[in-house]
Amino acid sequence: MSLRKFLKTLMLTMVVICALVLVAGCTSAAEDDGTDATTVTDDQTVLTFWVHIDNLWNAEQDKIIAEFEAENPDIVIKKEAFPWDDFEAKIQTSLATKEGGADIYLLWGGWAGDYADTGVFSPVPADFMAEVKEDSYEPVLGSFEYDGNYYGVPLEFNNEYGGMLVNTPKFEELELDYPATWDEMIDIARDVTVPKGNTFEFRGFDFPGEDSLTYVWTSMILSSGGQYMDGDEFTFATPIGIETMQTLVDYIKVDGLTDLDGITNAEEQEPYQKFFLGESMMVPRGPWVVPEGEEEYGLTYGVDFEFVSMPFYGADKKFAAETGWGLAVNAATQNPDAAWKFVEFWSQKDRLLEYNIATATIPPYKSLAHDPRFVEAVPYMAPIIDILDGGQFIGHFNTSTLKEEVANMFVDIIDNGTSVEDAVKALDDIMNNQ
Amino acid sequence: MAVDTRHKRHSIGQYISLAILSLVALFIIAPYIWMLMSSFKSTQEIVQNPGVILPINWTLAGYRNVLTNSPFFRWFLNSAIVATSITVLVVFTSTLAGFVFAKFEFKGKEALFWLILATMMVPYQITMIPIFLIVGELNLYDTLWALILPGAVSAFGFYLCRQFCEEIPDSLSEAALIDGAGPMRVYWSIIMPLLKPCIAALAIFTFLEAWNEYLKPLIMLSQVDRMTLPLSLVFFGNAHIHDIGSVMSAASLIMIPAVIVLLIFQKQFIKGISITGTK
Amino acid sequence: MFFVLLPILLLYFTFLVLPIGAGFVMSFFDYNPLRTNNDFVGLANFARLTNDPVFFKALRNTLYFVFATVPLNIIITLIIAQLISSLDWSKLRASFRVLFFMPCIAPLVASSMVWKQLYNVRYGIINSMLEGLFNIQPINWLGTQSLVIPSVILFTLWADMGYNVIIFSAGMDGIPSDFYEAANIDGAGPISRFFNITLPLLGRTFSFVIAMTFISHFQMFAQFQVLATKGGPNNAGTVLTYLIYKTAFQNKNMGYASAIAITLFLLIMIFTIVQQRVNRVDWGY
Repeated sequence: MSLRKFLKTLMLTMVVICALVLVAGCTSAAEDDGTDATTVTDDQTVLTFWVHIDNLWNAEQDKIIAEFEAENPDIVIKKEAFPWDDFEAKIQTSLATKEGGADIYLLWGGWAGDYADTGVFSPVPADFMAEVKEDSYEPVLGSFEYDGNYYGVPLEFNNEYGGMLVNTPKFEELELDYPATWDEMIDIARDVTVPKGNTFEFRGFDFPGEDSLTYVWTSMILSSGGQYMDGDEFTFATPIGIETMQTLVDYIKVDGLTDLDGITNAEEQEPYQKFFLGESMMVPRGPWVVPEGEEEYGLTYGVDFEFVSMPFYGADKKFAAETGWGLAVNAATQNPDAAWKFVEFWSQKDRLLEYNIATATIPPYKSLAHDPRFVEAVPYMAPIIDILDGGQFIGHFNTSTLKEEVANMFVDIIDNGTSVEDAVKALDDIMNNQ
Repeated sequence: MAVDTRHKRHSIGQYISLAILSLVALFIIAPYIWMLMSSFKSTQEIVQNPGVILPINWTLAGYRNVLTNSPFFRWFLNSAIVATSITVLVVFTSTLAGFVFAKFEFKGKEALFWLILATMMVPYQITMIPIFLIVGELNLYDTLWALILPGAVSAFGFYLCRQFCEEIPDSLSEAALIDGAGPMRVYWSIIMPLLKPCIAALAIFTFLEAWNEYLKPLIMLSQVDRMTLPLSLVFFGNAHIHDIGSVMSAASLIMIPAVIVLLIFQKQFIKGISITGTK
Repeated sequence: MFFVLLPILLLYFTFLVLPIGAGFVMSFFDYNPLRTNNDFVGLANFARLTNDPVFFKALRNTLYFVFATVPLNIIITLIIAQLISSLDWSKLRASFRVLFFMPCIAPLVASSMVWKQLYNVRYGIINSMLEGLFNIQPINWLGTQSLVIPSVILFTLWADMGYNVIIFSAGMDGIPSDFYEAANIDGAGPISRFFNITLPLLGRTFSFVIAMTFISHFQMFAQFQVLATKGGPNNAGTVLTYLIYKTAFQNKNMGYASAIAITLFLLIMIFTIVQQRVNRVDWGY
C-alpha cells in the first residue's frame, strides 16, 4: 500500500541528496585542478611531481621544471609541495591506494629501503643507471639498490658528518682558532659553556640532535677502527661502541656541554636553529643548513657564523653516510618514458651542479664534487669534499628508525641512569628485531 | 537548584563560588589570549621575548602570510563542505533508521540493532586502516568523499534517534497511518517535528566532530588544496622551521569564528548538549 | 520490503561493520598494502606484542592517561557544575556554561599547538610565570619523561571539560528544588546534600558521562601527536593510538598495527563491561 509509496519517495530523496553532495564534491574537485596556472592541451602529457616544502629548493625545482618544459613542449610537470612533517606518510599512503599518487617523487634515500621490495617504484633504465653508477659515491646509491636493481637516482651526497657550524663572533671575541683536533674542540666547548639553572645560557658543543647524535657516534666508532654492523646484524655493543657512547654520555653528565633538548622531541628549534639564534658555540650538521641561516635568520656567512671541518675522534677519517635525496618514478605511472626523461634531464651534469650549488648540497657524482666550479661557488664545502672518500654507506635499513632509537637510548642512559652497556645491547636487540 | 533568593542578600558562599568559577574561567581563557596576542607577533619576537604577553611590534605579517601564501579559504570551504554534508547525511540516516527500528517490525531487527550498536564500542583505530583501504579501492583517496561517505552513518546518532522515536507514542503514528497518510508523510510531518530537539543535538555534535576531525583527514587526504582546516596548521613554516607567528594567526582564524558562532547560538548549543546526557 | 533502508544499511556495513571484520582479519597477516603478496602469519603479530617494550610503554601510558584524566575530569566538572547551578545570578550561570564550553569547539590539534607554545622550555609563558612568581627554574614540560603525560593531562582537562560541565549542570537543574529544601530543613550541609541528593539523582546522566568520557579518552590522538611529538622523550608520551598510527602509516606494518588496535578495543570493551556492571546501567533496550 502506501508504505511502498513512502519507500519510493524516500529513495528519491536519498538520490537527490546524494546528487547534491556529488555536485558539491565535483565542483570542488574541478576547482582543485584549476589551481595550476599552466593550461594543459589535449596532446600534452601531464606528470605529477611531489616534493616537500622548502622555499629555496622549491624555487630551484621550478627553474628546472621550466627549462624542461621549454625543451619538451609536449610534457607538463605539475609540482606539489607538502609540509615536511607529513611528507613521508603522504608518499606512503598515496602509493598504497589504487591511483597511486604522483608520477615522480622527490624521495629520501633513508626511506627508500622500505619501498624497494614492494615494487611500487620502477627500476632505473639500465643504460641510464650505468652512467649514474660509474660516477657515483657509494653511499648515494646504497638504499636505492635492491636485488641488483636501482629504484632511485641520487641528487646529492647527504653528509651529516665532517662539518659543523661555528659561532664566529664568539671565537673572535675569545681569540680562539677553530679546533683542529677533537680534544681541542671539547676543550673549547668546556670553556665557553654557561649553564643557567636546568638549561643553558650558552652551549659549547650541541651534538644531541635528531641526525647529529647518530652520525657523531657512528663516526666515532668507524674512525676508531670499529664497526657497528656485521652483515645485516647491528653490533653496536662492541668495546669501541660502548666506550665511545660512554664518552658522549660524559660530555653531558660530567662536562655538561649541553643537554638533551635537541632529542626530546619537545623543542620547536633543532640544535642548529638554536645556534642561529646565537645560543651555542659549535653544532655538527650538514652544509645544507648554511642557506637557512642566511635566509631565515638573516645572518651573514663569515661574519655571524661559519661552516668548518669537524675533527675526527679517531685516527681514520671515516664516517657513515646515508643515501640522501633522489628522484624515484612510480611503477604505476602512465608515462614512464616522459618521467625518466625528466629525471635524466635533471641529472645532466651541469644542471645538477647548478642545483647542488643553489641548495648547498654535495653533488652525488665524483666528477661534480671535484669540479672546480663547485668549491668556487660554495667555498665552505672544500673541507668536506676532501673527506668524502671516507664516507661509508650506513646500511640497508630505515635510518629514521635508527636515529629515533639512538635518541631514545641516549635519553634512557642520561635520565634513567641505565648503564651504557645495557642500553647499547638493548639498542642492538631493538634494531635487529625490526 | 535555582532556590528563590530574590529577596535574600547573596550569601558569602555565593561570592566564594563566584571567585572559584572566575579563577577557572581565567584558566580557560588565558590560552586564547596568549594565542591572539601571539598572532600579532613575529616568530622571532615570540621566541626571543619570553614572558611578554602584549606584542612589542604589532604586525599583521602572520595573517598576511596565512591569507595570501596558503589556500586558506579553500581549506575553510573544504571543512565546510565536509562538515555540512556529514551533518545532513547523519541526521537523515540516523532519524530514518531510528524511526524504522522504533516503529516497524521486521525480521532480524534485533540482531541488526545490536550489530550497529556494538560498533560504537570499537575504537576508530581498528577501522581506520580498513576504511583507508576501502576508500582506496573505491578510488576516493584524496577527495573529500573519503571523509563524507564513511562519516554519513553514525551508530551514536542511530541510537539517539531510536531512543527518541521510541518515546513518541505509537498512537500518533498509527492514527496518521489509518487516516491514509503514507509512512513518508508520517516520518516527515509527525516524527521529524517531534524529533527536533534530538536532531538539534545530533547536528551540533556531528558538526563539531566533523569540523574538528584531525586523524581522518590526516590519513585520507594528501594534496595541499584538498586539506581541511585542522590539517592546515603544519603548513606554515619552511622545511624544518615552524613559523609560530603564522600558526597562531591561523589558529586564531580557525577558533575566533567558532567562538562567535557559539556566543550567538549559545542557548541552542547548551540545550542540545544537555539533551544527550539525559538519554 | 524495507529495501529503502538498504542504502543506509549498505553504508553501515561498508564503513562500520566490514572494517571491523577486516581489522580483525588483518591482524593475522603481515600486511603491507604496498606489496602484492601478504603472508598469513597466524598469531605472530600478537606474539610480537608480548616482547615489544614500546607496546608495553604505550599500554602503560594509555592507562595512566585515561585513569588519571577521566576521574579528575569527572570530579572537577561535578564541582564546577554544582558551583554554577548554585549561583543566584541566572545570567552568570549561562555565561559560565558557555565559557567553559569554549575549548570544546576548537579543533584539538589547534589548541594543542597553542599549548605546545605555552609549555615551551625556552619561551613558554608557563615557565616565565613560574620563574617570575616563584623563582622556579625553567622546566622542560614536554621534554621530560615524567612530565610529558601530566602536561597532556592538564591540556586535556582544559580542552574537554566543557561537555561534562553542561551535561552535569543540566542534570542538576532538573532536580526539583523541593528535595533541597527538605534537606535544608533537616539541617544537611552542602556536602551531604551533594552526596545524598545530587549524585543519586544524577544517576543515569552520571553513568552515561563516565562511559562516554572513558571511551573517548581511550581514543584521543591529536594532542599526543602535537604535544608528545614522535612519542615524546624516549617514548614517554607514546600512547596506543599514536603507536597504531605510526606502525600503520609510517612503519608500513598494517598487520601489526591492527593487532595493537585490537588490544585497544579489548581494553575498551573490558572497561565498558566492568563499568556497566558497577553502575548497573540500562542502555534502554
